Amino acid sequence: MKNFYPVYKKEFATYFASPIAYVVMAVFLTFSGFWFYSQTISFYLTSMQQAGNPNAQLNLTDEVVRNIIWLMSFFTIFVVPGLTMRLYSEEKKLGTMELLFTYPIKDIEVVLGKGLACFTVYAIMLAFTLLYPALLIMFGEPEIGPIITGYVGMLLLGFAFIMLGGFLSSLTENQIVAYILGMGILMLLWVLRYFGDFFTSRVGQVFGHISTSEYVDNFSKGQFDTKDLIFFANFAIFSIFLTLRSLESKKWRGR
Amino acid sequence: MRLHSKILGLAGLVLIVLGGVLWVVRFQFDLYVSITTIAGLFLLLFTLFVNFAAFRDFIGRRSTRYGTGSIVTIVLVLAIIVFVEAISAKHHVRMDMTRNKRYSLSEQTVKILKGLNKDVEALAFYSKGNAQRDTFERVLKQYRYYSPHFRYTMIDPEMDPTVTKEHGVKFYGTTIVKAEGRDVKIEEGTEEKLTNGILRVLRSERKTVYILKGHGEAAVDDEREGGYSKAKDGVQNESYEVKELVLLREEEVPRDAAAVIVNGPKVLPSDHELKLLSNYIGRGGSVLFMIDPDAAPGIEAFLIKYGVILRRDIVVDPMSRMFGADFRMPVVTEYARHPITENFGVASFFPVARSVNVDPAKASKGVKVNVLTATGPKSWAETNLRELKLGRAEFKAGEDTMGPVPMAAVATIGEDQPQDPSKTQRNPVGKMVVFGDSDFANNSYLSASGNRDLFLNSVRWLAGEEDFIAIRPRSSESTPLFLKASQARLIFILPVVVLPVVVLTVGVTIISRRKKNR
Repeated sequence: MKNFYPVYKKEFATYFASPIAYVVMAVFLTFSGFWFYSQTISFYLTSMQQAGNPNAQLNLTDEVVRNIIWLMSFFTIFVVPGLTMRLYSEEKKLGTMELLFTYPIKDIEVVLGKGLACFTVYAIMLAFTLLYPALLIMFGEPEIGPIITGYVGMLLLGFAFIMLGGFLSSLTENQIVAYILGMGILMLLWVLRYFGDFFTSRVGQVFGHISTSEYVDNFSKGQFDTKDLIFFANFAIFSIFLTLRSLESKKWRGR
Repeated sequence: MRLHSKILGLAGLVLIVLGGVLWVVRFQFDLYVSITTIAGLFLLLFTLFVNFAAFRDFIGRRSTRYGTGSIVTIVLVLAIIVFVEAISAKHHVRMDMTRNKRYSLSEQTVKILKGLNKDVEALAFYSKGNAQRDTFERVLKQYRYYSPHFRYTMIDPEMDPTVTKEHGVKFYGTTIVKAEGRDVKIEEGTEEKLTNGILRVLRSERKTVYILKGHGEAAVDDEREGGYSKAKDGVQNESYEVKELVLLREEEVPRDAAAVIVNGPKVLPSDHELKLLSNYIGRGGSVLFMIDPDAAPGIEAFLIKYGVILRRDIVVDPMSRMFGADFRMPVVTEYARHPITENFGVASFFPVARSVNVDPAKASKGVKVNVLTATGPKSWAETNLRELKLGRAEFKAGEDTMGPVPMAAVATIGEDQPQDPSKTQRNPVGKMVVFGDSDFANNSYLSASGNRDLFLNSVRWLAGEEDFIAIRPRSSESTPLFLKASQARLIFILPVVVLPVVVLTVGVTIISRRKKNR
């Protein structure tokens, strides 16, 4: 695994050399930030309204923390493909893909190197959003447990989505195509469980099981389940596997 | 390959895929599915046959070999992953990181489920559009997680009207719990109702709680503020029948009585009724007395035999002002160690109450009596009722007794009698709980703080169901948010403006520096 690190370093540096990473991050932070602001203020207004009412059920964690975790996870559907679309497509376009294949680097090192570099960018982006729970802690009493599970969940989710995005990027030279494919598939997986209602209960169950929003529900509520961990791990592993196959096929197809 | 055979071959593939989809949708390999799939297969084979030579070359090509190999490995890996997922779905470990574990079932429910040794099935009638369907299904899934004897099915009343009618379900959101041929209907999809439903259905005999009538007590069917309909619902949910009891007409308290509730009589019950009650207690019966201040004069003589002393007073508690209430609404925060108040952490409120004192010396033989709850130290029992009516109350040493003031008493009768070796049944032990107020359990005040639990736990202890005493499942803590104007501004500026701008600035700096260095 010696060559993993140079690949990782180079990919990471490339991210910061181009405007795309900054734009994606800024857009994500703006939308999430605005959502955080609106949820928090609306909760504050409700708190004021219900101040005299002893029966009011106002829980900062349930209302605000859960919603921001949920929404940020949903945003990743749009943001992650933006980060992953250039992972392989650019190389193919520039023709540096063949060059990559002539180096004595194993495919897995390439896949992991690039994937983890992208993941690091994603993690940095998430780290910025820690501002939101920090503000909540400063001014209110959110529960720490759900915040932790929320962020761990988002990291797992991001990792899995990034690996999928990488695979899709390896299929085409065109970054736009890679983005649209990525967004389309992630969106489909997200809403899949709502379609389960149209089919028999067995099929509905399967749909629910592979639908990513099902797991976000859990960790946004402060539940940490081995089921969730294994799902995202499987998701990532399968995507990595597909990427390896895809890269390999380029080699013997000579394209 | 010739064009039309290519098309045919493609058509064949499409038909096979269609067959697969149809199979999934209809979930059985029926006529349509078989026809489509077989037709597809035929077309495919036909194309193959006609173009055999070209096909052979295709297989021979290296790219095909690699490609097929790839597909095979991919399918293999997918199969392994699906297998792992299937196992993980069944055997998983869940950690609830919320502060009061509110998304997990309560310990009581878990205990009951783990001890379940009979098959219980729940049929939940929720239509697909119902917002509570998913939430309740999650709850049901957790029940299933803890007990293999528990099964559930979600039924959509709109898709299955016959089954719905069969079970007599009229309202959506109803759940039927079945076990051992009996069934119980639950109208609310909550953990509390479901667990109680399970307990109810497993109970083989129905116990009845009687409520005394005829002395101005609040009626159980009265849904107005002073009525007792909510209390009745609460008791029924604990799996008892609730019936009114006009003791005047009876010769004895009914034999199926698990407990008798005397909720705030305004006049004294007749001697005949009191005698029946005392007989009932003597043979192991349980009575809950809730006597309001200045009501049922004369009841003191009856209660003193059990060591319970009622005085002509009203408890005054300055602390209740803190809760926004009148100072005649004492706040009870002290609880004795007793099954009724085990794990009690919340205060209760008694709107206008008298003190309930105990004096074991005055009790008859075989009676063990104790204080159950008391108010805080700053309260007192005011004996000058005239002054109180005028809105003035002052503690007068010597006349009034300073707090903590006892507000409820609990007594057992016959507990320390030696067991008669000739009898196989245990000696009957009578039970009594006395509160100095009946309003705390009426429709207006039952849901205030710990009142409901205090009332229901008392009923349960009296009716003999100690094992199932439970604190209601946790709901979320109230953590409202209050912001100053400056803080609210900060909440807007930092996340929405500052953060993205910082990122962009860093980006611009790094990129322009690189350009400069080139």
